[in-house]
Amino acid sequence: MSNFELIDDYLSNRLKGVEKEAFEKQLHNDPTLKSDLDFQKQIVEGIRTARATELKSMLSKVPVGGTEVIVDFSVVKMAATLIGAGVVGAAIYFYVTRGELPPFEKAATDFNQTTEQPNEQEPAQHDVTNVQPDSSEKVAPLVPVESKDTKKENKKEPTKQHKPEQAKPAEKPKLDLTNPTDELNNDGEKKEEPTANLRRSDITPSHVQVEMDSSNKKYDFHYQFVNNKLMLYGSFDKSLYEVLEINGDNHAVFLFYKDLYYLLDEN
Amino acid sequence: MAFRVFKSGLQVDEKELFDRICKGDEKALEFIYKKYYRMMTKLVITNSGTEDEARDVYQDALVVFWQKARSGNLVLTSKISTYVYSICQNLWRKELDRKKRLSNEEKDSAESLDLDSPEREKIIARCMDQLGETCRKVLMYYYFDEMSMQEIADKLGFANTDTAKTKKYKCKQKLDELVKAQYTEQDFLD
Repeated sequence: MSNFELIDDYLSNRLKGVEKEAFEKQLHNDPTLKSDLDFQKQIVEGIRTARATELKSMLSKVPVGGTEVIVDFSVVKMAATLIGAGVVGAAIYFYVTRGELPPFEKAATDFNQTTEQPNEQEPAQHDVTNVQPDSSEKVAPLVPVESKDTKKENKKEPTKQHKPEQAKPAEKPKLDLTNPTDELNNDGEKKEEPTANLRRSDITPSHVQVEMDSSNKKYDFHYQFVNNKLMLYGSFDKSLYEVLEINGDNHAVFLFYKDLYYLLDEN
Repeated sequence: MAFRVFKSGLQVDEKELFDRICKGDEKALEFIYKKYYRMMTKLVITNSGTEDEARDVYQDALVVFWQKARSGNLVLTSKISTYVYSICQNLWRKELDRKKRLSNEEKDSAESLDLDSPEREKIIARCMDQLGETCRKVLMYYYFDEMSMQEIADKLGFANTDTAKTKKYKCKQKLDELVKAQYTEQDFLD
């Protein structure tokens, strides 16, 4: 076996046992062989490095995403913490802000319980909000009126306009609630009368300016007249509503919302 | 009963994976890389390492595992993951020691001992790039993967082992010449 083959087998781990020991002994005594070995060793190391680089390059192309998930998770945790802090902060802010609104609560009418039970009798029991059931005859004529005044405006108004109402704590708005479907189910005669009343009365879409605040979670279905403006609190924007005025002998303003009419107390 | 079936199924998977690695199946290596990526990189990341360092160490460990398995000298007495994990540990410990040495100003003496080595490696890498793709593969399979001539012939579609042997000889001669042309006599003897 030539020196070249011996060196090659030695460096590629193919020289074993006695042959390997004999070659190592020869290296000690032959500087030229040692020099050749050193040169070949560098080249073989270079070949191995090239192969290792190739394998690593191949592995780098394998999609993993393990650590990205860890990073994302920590980012998500941080974001969740910030959002949570924001929500708590906002909740505290609104709670404090609403804490200044008790007079409004007196002035406004709590619709929640009336909407849960759309039939007339139940809302009449709520003396806090002064809900008074109105006769269905008065409400029924409003059915044909079709005008929509859906102005949606800024939310910051209620706290500013809250104070004038504070000066009138004695005012208790009356809520008139009726379910027109009950009326429609009645016999023909009862339907005729309101229709006649309707024609006698001058019913028009209201020109009362309406402002809405859907961010106020404490007053989620309330209203309030402030400086001739009608403030609506709650998620009214989710469905259409109408404000109707009757300009007859008895002036009245109604809110039509989700198939129900609410008589609004302008005082 | 069910437990026994499940356990034997796992053992077969591990054995099959290892067999495929020993036969030079690179897809099996990719599978292992993906499977244990998080576990292995976490070792480095939680021990003062960056994500890049973690990836590098894990890849180096798998390359070591691959070479050992391919050479036929590795008898696995543990799970593949345990074995690779221990290589990662050793490599990262070594790297941390190296960093520590550098920070303790042993840097200069360490560099002066092997000043020309990186330059020589670059020269050889350039020469490897000048070889054709077949030559590169023959040499890498022979010296790194330690494939037999029969395996090289099968892998690269040569007619027989003599063709593989001749190819390997010629490719090695060509590389030697390319490197010699760029080296000076002093480079070797220093």
